[in-house]
Amino acid sequence: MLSYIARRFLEALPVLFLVITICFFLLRLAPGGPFSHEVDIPAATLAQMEAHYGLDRPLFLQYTSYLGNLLRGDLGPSFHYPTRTVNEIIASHLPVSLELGLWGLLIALFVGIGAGVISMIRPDTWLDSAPMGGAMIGICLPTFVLGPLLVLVFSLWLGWFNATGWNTAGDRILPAVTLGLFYAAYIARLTRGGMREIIRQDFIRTARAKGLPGHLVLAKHALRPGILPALAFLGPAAAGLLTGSFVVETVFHIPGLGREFVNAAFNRDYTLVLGVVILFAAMILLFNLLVDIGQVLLNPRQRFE
Amino acid sequence: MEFMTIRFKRTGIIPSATATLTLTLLALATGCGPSESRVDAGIRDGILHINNATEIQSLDPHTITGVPESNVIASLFEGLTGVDPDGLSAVPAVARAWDVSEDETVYTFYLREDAAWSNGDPVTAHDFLFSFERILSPNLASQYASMLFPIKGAREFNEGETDDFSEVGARALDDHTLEITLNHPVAYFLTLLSHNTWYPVHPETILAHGRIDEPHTRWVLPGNLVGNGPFTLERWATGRRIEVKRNPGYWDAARVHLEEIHFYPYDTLAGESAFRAGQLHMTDPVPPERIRHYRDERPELFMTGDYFGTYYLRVNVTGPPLDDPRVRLALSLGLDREMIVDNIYGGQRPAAYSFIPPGVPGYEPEPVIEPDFDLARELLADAGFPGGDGFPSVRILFNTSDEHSAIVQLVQEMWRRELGVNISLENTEWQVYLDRTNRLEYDIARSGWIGDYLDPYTLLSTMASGDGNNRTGWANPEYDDLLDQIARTRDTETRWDLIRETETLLVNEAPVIPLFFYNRMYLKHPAVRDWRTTPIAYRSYKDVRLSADD
Repeated sequence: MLSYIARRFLEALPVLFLVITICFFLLRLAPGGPFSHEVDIPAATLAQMEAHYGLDRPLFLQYTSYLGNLLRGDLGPSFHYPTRTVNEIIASHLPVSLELGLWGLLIALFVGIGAGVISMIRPDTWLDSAPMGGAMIGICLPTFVLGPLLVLVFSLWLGWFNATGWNTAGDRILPAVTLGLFYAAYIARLTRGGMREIIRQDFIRTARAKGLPGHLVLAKHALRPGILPALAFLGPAAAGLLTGSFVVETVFHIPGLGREFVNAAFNRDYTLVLGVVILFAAMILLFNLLVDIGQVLLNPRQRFE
Repeated sequence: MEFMTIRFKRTGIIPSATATLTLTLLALATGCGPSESRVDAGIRDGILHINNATEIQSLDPHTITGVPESNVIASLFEGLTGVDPDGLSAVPAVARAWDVSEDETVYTFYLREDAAWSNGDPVTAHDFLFSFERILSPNLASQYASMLFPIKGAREFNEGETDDFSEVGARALDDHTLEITLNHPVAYFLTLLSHNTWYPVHPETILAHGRIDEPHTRWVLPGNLVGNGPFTLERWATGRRIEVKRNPGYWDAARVHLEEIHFYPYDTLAGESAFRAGQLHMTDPVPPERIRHYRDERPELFMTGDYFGTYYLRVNVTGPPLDDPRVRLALSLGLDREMIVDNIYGGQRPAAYSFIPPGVPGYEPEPVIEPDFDLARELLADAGFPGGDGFPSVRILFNTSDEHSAIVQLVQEMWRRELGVNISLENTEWQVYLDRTNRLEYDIARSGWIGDYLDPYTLLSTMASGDGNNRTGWANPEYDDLLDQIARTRDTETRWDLIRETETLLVNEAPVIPLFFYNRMYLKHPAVRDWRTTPIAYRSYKDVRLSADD
C-alpha cells in the first residue's frame, strides 16, 4: 500500500505542474490587471507599481521566479492586499473554510447516508418517497436560495442565530446546514441506489439465510459496499467542501477561502488566485487518492495496483 | 419484491445517529442563540458596529484609493483641517488657526501644541513635511499624489523632474508652524486638506518598517500603526472586522464619546440582513429593492444625505452615429429620468438635468436640459435618422450589477419607445469594463464619478481633452479654456458663472448623459446620535453618541 501511495504521489506532481503553468499564463491573458482602477493612474505611477511586483520583467522570467519561490513555499505578495502575503491570506482563511467544510461534510454524511438507508429499507413507502423527495428538492434548491431562506426563518423571524458572521458557535449552524444539505441530497440518492444494488446480491441472501437479523445484515454486509458510489462522489466533493464554498461564504459572510478565491479572480490578484488554485488542485489529488484507498478497504474485490 | 426487504429494528444505529445530530443542532440552536443582540450590547458599552462594505486593502492614508479604507482611516488619522458637516466649510483640526496671504498663494498653519501621536510624540510641522515628501515620492507610486499638486513644485517632484524636496513649496517655520506655497490660488484649498492624502504619518514608524518611499510595508498593521486620530487601531481580522478604540491622548478626546468602533466588511445584502438581525447599528447603502420598504414602513431607520457624485452614460464620440452632437443630445433629451429614479430608488435620488451634484456651498445646481421627446425626435431626424430609421446598431456597456442592469434596461426601453432607436445591452465584469472603456472599445457605457473634494472642478476636470478619466474621445478647446479660467479665477461669483458655463457646454455637447445624482442612503439605529455626513469621503466620528434614551 505504501508503494501505491508513493507512486500516486509521483504521478500527481506533473499534474500539479501543468495546473500551475496553465493557470499562470491564462491569468495574464484576462483583460485588465491587478492595478486597474476607475480613476486614471499616471503612466509613470503604474510602471512604478508594476516594477515593485516585478511585473515589468519578461513573462517567462516572472514564471520561472514564481516557480523558484514556490519550491521554497513562498506564494508571493498579494497584489490586492498589498501589506499581506498569499501565504498569510491562505493561513488566515483556510482554517475557516476547513471548519465549515468539516461541519458540512458531517451533516452531508449523516443526513445523506441516513436518508439513503432509510429509503432503501422501505422501498415504495412514504419512508422512501419522503427522503428521496427531500433529496430531489435538496439537489434542485441551490445554496443561494436555501441559505437566505434559512436566514429569513431562523435569524430574522425566530431570532435564534446571527444572520451573518463567523464568531460564535451558533454562527456555524446555518452555513453548515446550507452547505451540508446540498451534498446530503446527492449522497442520499447515491447511497439508496448503491444499497439497492447490493441487497440483491447473493452474499446478502446468504447472510439472511444463516439467520442474521436484518439490521446486522445491513450494518455488517450491505452498508460497506453500498456506500461505494457515494464514496466516489465524496472525493472531489470533500475537496470542494473543505476549500470553501463561494456561495455559502458570501450569503453568510464567512471569512473563508472560497470568497477570497472568487474575489481574487475579479481583482486580478494573480498570486492569490494561483496560490489557491495550487492548494485546490493538491487537495483534489489528495482526496481522490484517499477515496481510492477507501474503496479498496471497503471493497474486498479490489486490490492496490 | 418484498422478499428483498430487510427487516430493520427501530433501534438501528443510523436513525439514532441522525436523531442525535438533529437534537444536537436544536440544542445548539436554542443554547447559542444570542441572548443580547450585538446592537444592544454596543449601546450599553459604547461600541458602534458599522458596516464598511468590503475588506479594506490597506490603512496607509497615502496609498489607499477607496472609500471603505478612508472610513477607517478617518478614525485613526487627522489632517490640518476638517469639514464642518453643517456649513461644509473647513474647521480647525491639527491646525488650530491659519493665515492666508493677500494673493491667496501662501498659507501659514499654526499647529496645536497638544496634538499628539498615539505613542505620545507631539505632531509637528516636520511630520507634515515628511508626509508630503513621502506621498509625492515617485517610488511610493501613490495613485492620488496629484491631490497635492496645488503645492508649488509638487508635480515636478512627483514626476521626477527634481529629487530635491526643498524645491517644493512647503516648509516648517518652527515645530508648530507650517507654511505652504501654492502655484496659484485654489478656492477649495482649505477643505482639500481634509482629504486623507494630506494626513500626516509618523516618521519614526514609517522608517522603522522601510524607507520613506517604500510602498506597502507592514507599518499599517495593528501593533505597528501609530496615528494621530481620535481612535487607535486595536484589531484587524481580515474578512471579519476592524476594531478601533478611543484614544485618550487625542487633543479633543472630550468630544469623542464612543469607546470603540467595529467596522464590518459586509456587502450590501449581508449588511442589511445583519442590520435587521441586530448585529449592526448602521449599514450603507440600502439594497435598492428594499428602499420602498424602509421609506414607508421604517422611516425612523432610513436616512439620506448628499453625496458628491453623478451617475451618467459615457458616450464614445469617435465614430458614427455618436460622433454627431445632435444624436447625443437627442439621446439625452429622450430620457425620462424621474421614471428611472422612481423605479430603481423609490424616488430617493435626485434626477440629473446637469452635471454638478447638489452640495457645493454657494453653488446651486440649475437644470441645463429639459427632457423633450419631440425635440429629441427632431434632432434625430436632422441627423438622418427620422423615427430612428437606419440608426446603426449601438450597445450600452455596463459592469455586472443588478442595479446597473435595471437602469440600462429602462434606458433601452425609453429610447426604443420614444425615439424608435434600438439599442442592445452588454454586460461584462468590472475589469473587462475598465479595459474596454479605457481603450474606447464601446459605444455607450454606464458610468459615474464621485468628487474627491467639494468643488465642481473635481468633476468637470475629468472631461478635459486628453484627461485619463475622460474616456469618451471628446475633446473641446473651448471647454479646456473654460477649465483653465476656473482654475485661475479668485472672485467667487465670477467663478460660479464660469462653472455654470462649462457645465452647460458639457451637458449640451453630451459626451456624458447625466441620469441622476448619487446620494447617501443608509440604515441607522435610532440609538446612534449626532451622526452627520458630508457629501465627500470625509467623515468625523467626533460627537457621535450611542444612547437608548431620547
